[in-house]
Amino acid sequence: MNNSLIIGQYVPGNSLVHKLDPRTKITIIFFYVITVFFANSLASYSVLVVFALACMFTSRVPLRFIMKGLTPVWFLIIFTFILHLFVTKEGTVIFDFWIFEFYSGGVIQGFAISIRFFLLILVTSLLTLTTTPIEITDAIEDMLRPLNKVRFPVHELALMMSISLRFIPTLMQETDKISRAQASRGVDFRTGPIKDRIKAVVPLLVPLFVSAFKRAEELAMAMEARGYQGGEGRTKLRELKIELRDIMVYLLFACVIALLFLTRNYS
Amino acid sequence: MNRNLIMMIEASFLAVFALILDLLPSIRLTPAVSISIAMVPIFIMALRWGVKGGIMSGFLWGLLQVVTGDVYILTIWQFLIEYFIAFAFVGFAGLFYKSIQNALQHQKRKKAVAGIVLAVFVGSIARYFWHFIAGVIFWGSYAPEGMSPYLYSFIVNGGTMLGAAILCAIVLVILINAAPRLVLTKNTSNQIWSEQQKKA
Repeated sequence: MNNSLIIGQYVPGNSLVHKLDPRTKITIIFFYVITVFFANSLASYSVLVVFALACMFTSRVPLRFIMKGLTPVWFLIIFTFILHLFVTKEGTVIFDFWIFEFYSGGVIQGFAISIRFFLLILVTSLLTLTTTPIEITDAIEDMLRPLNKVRFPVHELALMMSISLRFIPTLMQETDKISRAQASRGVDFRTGPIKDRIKAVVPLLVPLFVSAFKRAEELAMAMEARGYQGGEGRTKLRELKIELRDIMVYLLFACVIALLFLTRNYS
Repeated sequence: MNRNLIMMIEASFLAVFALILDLLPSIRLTPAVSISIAMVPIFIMALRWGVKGGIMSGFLWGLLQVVTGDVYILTIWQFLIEYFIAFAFVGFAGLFYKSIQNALQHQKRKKAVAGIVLAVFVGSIARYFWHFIAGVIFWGSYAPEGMSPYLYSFIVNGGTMLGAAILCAIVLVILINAAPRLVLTKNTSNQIWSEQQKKA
């Protein structure tokens, strides 16, 4: 039960990557994801790989956590590689086997695309490995603030996000408790034909939702009793602050992008 | 009491349930992850509060997946579309929540069931339309030349959509028939109760 109740992948740490402002991390990843598609030569790919690996090593997140994030996509990576191997017919034939001919263009394309996948997943999982969900939420709230002007309810969204994050463990425990209670009455979610399993899920969901609605009402009442009345003028316990290290990292990243465009193949 | 606040909190809770239902292996009904009952809480929210509540809850669900790291970013547009737009569009299941609630209130079983099934399909199609678009973008930038991204994305997303919609429709119909109070908010269920009292 303990392990399955942890949602999110945050690995506590004290590295530079952990300490960076979450907004810095999100911005850099955003631009990294865009620039990955500009790489088209060996040198430009190397620049991206070196940057990603450098981030990985400075974060000091144990390798097994990173590999865990990659497991679901191995299949996708291998699948696209093989697809390119068979379908792309450019360059010279490297070797042929039975009725298949493998072209050099296919191998290169396949490699390039697999590396691209790998980099994207690595960098984005580094974000969630080194940043708590609450920090990411704060950053998103801050970055969406300009949308306030077009009447997008940024404050409400942030409030709902923090309520959601706060209640993930509570509601998971509740789900676990009710599913155990129903299992002890003989409800079986795992085996039997699909028809029976669908029926089995009803006695789980009904009490779950009903108690959530009750809890929601109690929470609303408690908030109003403490004077909650919407977004205007609310202050925060945790304030985000851009430090010198954030600026340094931005500069470093700008150099990386410049280097990428220098090593790119323009022909 | 402020009904808007209650709606916001309920939207948060049900978004969490959507996240949980996708993750808990003990209550996973099908072997494939992609066809799951995870949309059911969002549908409940949409039928309970209408489009606004549904969209709120769906949007939160997408955002929760982002902050808990349950995402695949393959291209930036695919990411923005799939996690910030697609899940929110499930909320459009709430388009005719009033007539469904009405049918439930007056115990018109058939009309209610038809309404629920229709709502599920509207929500699912709205969501998977965006997954289809994202699939075209993703496939367009990764697939070798000569493969149609439209056809591929349509088959994959269409298939998943159909599976998920049918599963969710069945679960919702059973669920709401067993406990109509899940979609009837306090005011409406009070009315039902007083009507029943009058009859008795």
